[in-house]
Amino acid sequence: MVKLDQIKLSNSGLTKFFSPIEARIMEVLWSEKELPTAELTRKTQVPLSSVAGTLDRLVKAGYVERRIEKIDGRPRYIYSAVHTPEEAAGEITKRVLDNLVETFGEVAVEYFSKYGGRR
Amino acid sequence: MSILFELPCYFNCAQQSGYFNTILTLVLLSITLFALRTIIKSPTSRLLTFTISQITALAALIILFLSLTCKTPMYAMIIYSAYVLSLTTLTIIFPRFYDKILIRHLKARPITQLMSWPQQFLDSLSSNKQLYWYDSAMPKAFASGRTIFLSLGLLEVLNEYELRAVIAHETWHLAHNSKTPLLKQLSLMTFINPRNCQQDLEKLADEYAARMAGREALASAHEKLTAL
Repeated sequence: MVKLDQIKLSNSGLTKFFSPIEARIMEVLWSEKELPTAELTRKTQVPLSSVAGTLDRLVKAGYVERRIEKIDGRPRYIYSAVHTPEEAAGEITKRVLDNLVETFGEVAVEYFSKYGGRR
Repeated sequence: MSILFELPCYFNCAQQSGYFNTILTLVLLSITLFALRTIIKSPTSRLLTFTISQITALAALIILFLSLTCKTPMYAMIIYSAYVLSLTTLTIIFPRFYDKILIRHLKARPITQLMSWPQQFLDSLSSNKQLYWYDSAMPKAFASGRTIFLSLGLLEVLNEYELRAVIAHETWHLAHNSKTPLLKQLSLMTFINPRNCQQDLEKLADEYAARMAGREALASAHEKLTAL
């Protein structure tokens, strides 16, 4: 979703909406409060070359925020998730539903009420 | 199509003009110098040979242009002149304000906001240059105009000694910026890929960095950045 604003229905879990690396970063950030870059690469086990670009993208898309802190006189990024997992789920759901209604109009709305009734 | 038909005419005109041998000699000289470059080891003489070969080629073009007395309008020459003119304007004007555009585009800020030693180090190498950082996790450094740009990702990855090497490398590029556009322009005028001299420029910048910041620091900075 973040990478190309695409949904891949055949993927499992979060990778339906995020790229695999994005998903791994989000999972790590949701489980920890704040992390510097080095910790993030260690915990996600993704090399910095892939993590760096993805982090820039996630920050730009508003899923991740970072501040700069000086540690031992050197600047360091400290990353954290903007939303809780529930908030992120809510936002993704809203975006998907908005798009369904925009494309299919009445049919989509009708189906939502049927879906709600079935539950 | 008419441009293609012009070419045999140019050839005939040049042959009749009496300058044909001069043009031919210059072209051959240019090609020989260009080929000679591959055997020369020192980057400085390589760049010099490259430049002379380009100037020779350009001289051949100019003499050809002056010797032409074709009756038909010379579209190819008009197009080429317009190309050179716009190129010259661009290479002279563009570098003067490009760093300011970059600063705005990247929302870059002076490095002194974060730490003071890098700017002091830069001042000790060269006056009137500024060091800026910008918000990105991707380790990157580049220079334009009077400004060196470092990403915060680079500041995270490299230690102080390696950063010095990178700063010195970029300073060399800035210091020679007034000459390198000339190289680029020459190669664009003679339609030769400027990459031919890019490697030599990088090598010279590295030699300078090794002198100013130490060979080991330069090597480990290279190692870290190529690993990424």
